[in-house]
Amino acid sequence: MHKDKIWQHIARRLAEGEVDKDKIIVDDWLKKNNLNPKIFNRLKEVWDYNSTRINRRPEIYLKVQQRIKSFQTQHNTYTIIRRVLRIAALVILAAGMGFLINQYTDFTKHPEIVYNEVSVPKGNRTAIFLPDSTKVWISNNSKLRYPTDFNGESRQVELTGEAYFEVNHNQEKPFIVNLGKHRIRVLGTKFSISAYPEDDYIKTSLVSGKVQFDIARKGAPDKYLSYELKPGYSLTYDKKDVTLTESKVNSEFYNYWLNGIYEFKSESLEDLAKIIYRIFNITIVFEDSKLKSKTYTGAISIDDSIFILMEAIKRTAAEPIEYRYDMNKIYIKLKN
Amino acid sequence: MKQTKHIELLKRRISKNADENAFQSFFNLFADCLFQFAMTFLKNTQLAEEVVSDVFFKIWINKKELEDIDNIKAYLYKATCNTSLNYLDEEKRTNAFSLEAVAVDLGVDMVNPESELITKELKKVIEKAIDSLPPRCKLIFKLAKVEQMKYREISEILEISVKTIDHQLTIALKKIGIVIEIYLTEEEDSSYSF
Repeated sequence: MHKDKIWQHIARRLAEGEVDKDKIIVDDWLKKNNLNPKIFNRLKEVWDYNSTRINRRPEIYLKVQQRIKSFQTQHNTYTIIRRVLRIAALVILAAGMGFLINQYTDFTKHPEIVYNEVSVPKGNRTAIFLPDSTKVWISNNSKLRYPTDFNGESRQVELTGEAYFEVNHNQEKPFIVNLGKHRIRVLGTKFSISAYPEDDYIKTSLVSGKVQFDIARKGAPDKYLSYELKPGYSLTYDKKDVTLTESKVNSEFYNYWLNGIYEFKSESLEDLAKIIYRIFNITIVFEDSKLKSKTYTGAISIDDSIFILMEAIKRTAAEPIEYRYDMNKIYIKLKN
Repeated sequence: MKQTKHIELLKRRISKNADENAFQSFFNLFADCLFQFAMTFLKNTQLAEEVVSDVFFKIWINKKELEDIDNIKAYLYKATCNTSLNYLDEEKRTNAFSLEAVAVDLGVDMVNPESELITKELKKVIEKAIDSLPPRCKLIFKLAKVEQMKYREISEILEISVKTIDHQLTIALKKIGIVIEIYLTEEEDSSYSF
């Protein structure tokens, strides 16, 4: 027998109990000389000895109860808000399936074209089909304007906020998403755009196909600097610094659009607060501005309660923080 | 077996009836072990208390799902392990996700101080040997010895194969066995020299 093997059988015999094969081998080894039983007895004594455990049960149980209690008070408030929101949602639902559609005509530009405008409120998400069967998932707090018919030379829509497009292929009629001054030109493809007016950036991510990001030239309306995007990549345009960065589309992307899960990596609490506002319609108020720059990694599901997220933030904070909820606002500060 | 049935019953009472007494009994069954386990990573009583209270807080909040958790013991240890790693400060956390990098502290006496078989000197040697084991090996040794877990249970908690555990425990027992062997041989040699 290999010399080390005996330790394997001893380990198994001690940890796994009396397994026949191990018992026989160890018994044989014990009979070999006088020393082996002495070693084994001592090993067994070390193994079997267990010092009494420290009992911290009362203290810990008290903590559990306190947390449950404070959670339930918050949760009750939240349920009430949820109920109100649900009633509000029902009203919206009656008006148009969880989002609002406005129909109007833009008389100043094209009196003949009738536009639809879909606005998705905060804490909501929806998918619609455009007249050319292009499918669009519209994120919370976003707006998409499109004509009831794509009659012109191109298919033009206007987006404020965030959406994911699966554009129906049509070589003759390019699909153009207007983002205020800038735009994105498409043939047939799957891609997303994030262009909230309050953000400092516009980001487009391409899953497959081909898109072109047209950035408006300063002082030259309708003149663009065009950038083509490779599948599997994102382009982020920084409105402040006027820079363009390319990055790889990560796996979280699909999770976000398909399952409503937003994953974030080393994101500052300040940026996270913007996302929380869009998803939950809850404003984060920083009572210590120091907290704004703290970074977090994790995930939010749009179906989660905000308090689950707040508990996670609280739990992972390096310095203890506390928060309170009042009238759609969450106030956070460092615990004194 | 009886223990398992008892736990199953508690789980059902918590899950179905939101029974607080059942919750407390359930808590009492595991709290000490989990606290000890959290101490392995955190070495700080207060933090370890936070971790354990966090684990049980979540059990209560998500009590409806409790009944569906098959291996509750492995689940609780895993939750404690993950939460503990989350509590480590930022810098430690970034390289902590491999267990290799976390300092493991056994926290409890490994050798009976009143043993007749093991002298004070031998005790020291054994403790030194255990302490010098690599973190993952030490953690596996602790789970097997202190928490009296079987290979399969450890494998579920740490998400590593039974084969690895077999190997790591062999390393641990060999190391301790050999220091005992050396100690006993030296003792014998010195007694002959008289």
